[in-house]
Amino acid sequence: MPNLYGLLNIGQSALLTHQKALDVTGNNIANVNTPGYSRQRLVIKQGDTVRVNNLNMSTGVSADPGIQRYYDQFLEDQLINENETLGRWESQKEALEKIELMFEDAEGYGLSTAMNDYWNAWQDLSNNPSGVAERTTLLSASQHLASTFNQLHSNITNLQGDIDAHVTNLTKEINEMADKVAVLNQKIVEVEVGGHNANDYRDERDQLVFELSKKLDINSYEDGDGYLNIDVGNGKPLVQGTSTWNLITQDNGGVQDVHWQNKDATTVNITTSISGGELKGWIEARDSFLDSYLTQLDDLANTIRGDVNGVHTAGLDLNSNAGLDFFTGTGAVDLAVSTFIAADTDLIAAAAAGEGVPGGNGTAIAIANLQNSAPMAGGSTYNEYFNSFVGKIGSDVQSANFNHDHQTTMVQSMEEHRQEVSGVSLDEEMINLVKFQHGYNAAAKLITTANEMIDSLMAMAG
Amino acid sequence: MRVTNKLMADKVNYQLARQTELMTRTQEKIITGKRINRASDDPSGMSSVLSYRSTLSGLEQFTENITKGKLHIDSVDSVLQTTTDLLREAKAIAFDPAPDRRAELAAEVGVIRQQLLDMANYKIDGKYAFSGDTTNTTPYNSTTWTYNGDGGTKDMIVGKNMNTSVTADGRQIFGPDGDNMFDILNDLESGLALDDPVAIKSQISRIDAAVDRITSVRAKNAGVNKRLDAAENHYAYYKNSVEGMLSKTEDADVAQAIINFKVQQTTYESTLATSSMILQKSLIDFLR
Repeated sequence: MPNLYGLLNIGQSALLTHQKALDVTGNNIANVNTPGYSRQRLVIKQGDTVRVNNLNMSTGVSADPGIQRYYDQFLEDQLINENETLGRWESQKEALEKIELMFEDAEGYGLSTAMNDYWNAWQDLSNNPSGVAERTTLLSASQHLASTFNQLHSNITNLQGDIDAHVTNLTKEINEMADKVAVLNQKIVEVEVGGHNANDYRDERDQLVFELSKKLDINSYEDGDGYLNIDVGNGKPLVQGTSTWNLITQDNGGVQDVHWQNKDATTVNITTSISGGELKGWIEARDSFLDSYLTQLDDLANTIRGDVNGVHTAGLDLNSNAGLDFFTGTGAVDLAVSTFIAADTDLIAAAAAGEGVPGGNGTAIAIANLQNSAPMAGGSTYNEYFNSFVGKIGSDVQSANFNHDHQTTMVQSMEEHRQEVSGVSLDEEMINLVKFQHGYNAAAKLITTANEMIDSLMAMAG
Repeated sequence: MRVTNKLMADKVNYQLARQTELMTRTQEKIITGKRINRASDDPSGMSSVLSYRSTLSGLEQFTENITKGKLHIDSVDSVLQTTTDLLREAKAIAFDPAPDRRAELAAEVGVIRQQLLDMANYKIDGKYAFSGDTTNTTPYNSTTWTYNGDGGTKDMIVGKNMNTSVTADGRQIFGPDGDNMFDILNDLESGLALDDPVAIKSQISRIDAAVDRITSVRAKNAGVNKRLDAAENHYAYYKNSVEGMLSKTEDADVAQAIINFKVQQTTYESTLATSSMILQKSLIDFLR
């Protein structure tokens, strides 16, 4: 048997439900540009039918308390993976591009030019072995060569220092983000235990995890209670439920290693287990690329020093004394012209043993000809070695650039996929707005109609 | 495909950023005129560029060495020319042309000897040219008439691992001690002073031998000079071709770059134009 008051109830449920639907639509519109926001939809269903006296009685409409969130976990996981790789290439590209600038020889002011000038200065000396001008020129060319080596070395080590600072900052940021995830874990579980969906908290948490994945590679999984757990570096927990662990950096022979700190303050070095994210990019640039550049630079400096000294000490200076070590030092870092030679260019040995002075130029010729010898790895001359070294740096940068570009496109297109699923379309929302507004208006009309019917009834009774 | 507003905006952003980057790169090529502005633009090209530059720098140095070497040989040659002329004058005297003027001729021989001494002690660029490597030791003096230098040669680098040398040992040019041109002139002078025609005439063959010695040194030097000329010409040619290779490797094809820039600009502008149309309109504009 139909019931007038039942009609009022139906009108009320329709009003409230449409109001809620408008609420959700409004929220979608408001968050159209919010990063990480997933569009939401009110799940509306028909009210349970009540059977009274063999008659079906409708009870209107009701909304599910859990508002649906458009979201694709598979896509999200993929995006996290790709983002880890993007972070790695991004920081590697940044580090290597800085190095490339330091070896900038396109304008001809670099080590290659310094070496050319150095060998040429010995040839000039061979043309005029006793010339003061030639000796002074040679001295300054040698000092320029040595200081170019020093400069390149300190540029690289400075960059390694900058990278260390980056690594330390990153671990701090990671710790803060882990703390936020733990707080959100708690909020989500508290909300959802009541049957509601903590959509906004989940969006926030997913966005955090997404940002975290750019900093280092993580392994994240949600447990049955809704807690998101995160492992890092070979299965060490970073977040578990509402507790977090910290990452710290510790000095290891001049570079900062990343350690995972347990609750009892013991630490485990996870530097080599990090396989993605900005941390990986920085560490890889610092420990693989920059270190090998330093080794190559040292190789070159040491070979030049050893070879030149070998010939020079066998020669005779202007005073007919055996030549001193021309260069001193232990590598590119401290390569320098002998202080004695720097103070007195007469000590430069131009003559070979057995030659007369000051006209003998056998040593000058022998040292100038060293540039054609092939003492470096792979049977290359000093210049060839350095040139291919610059080429190596260039191709390292090129591949980092290439990988970065490729990865950016990758992440970009996955983001598009995510937007397809989770993004807000204003057109859709406008349609929903119109739809729910009409529903709301009609529900209001229903109540008015029910009201008029009750009025008529009351008039009859009066 | 479900297209959302943020997706459209993100895509436009991404495309515009990419186009801007491409245009900046192309513009850099146009401004610098270079195709390779950093090693990563073309790593192997950059290696070649550096190696071409080293080659050029080496060629310039070799050319400079050769210029200096030729200058040295030219100076030596003119000294030896004068020496030969002086020896010929002495030879004329050794023919004993005027037996009644022997005392006068003896004095003339003394003058020639002094001039020869000046030639043997000739300095190029402040350094003795004929005292071997001991370039600040006077090769000959007028008391002993013996050689004071050493056996060193004037060496120079004329190419990759290519050295050449010219004689700087006074003994090889002016004769061994005891039979050098000063000894000959001393003997000639004393023959004239002692009115000894046999002693005078016996110097003719010795002077001829001395002239021959100098001629052979000059011939050797001329040979070296010729080689230097050849090397210099070769370097000039080689330098040209290396410069060509360098330019081919590192220089941008500016015309091509400008065309590329125009194309990129067109793409950029059309992205802007279409974006403004897409982004402006939505259903909101039609729901009034």
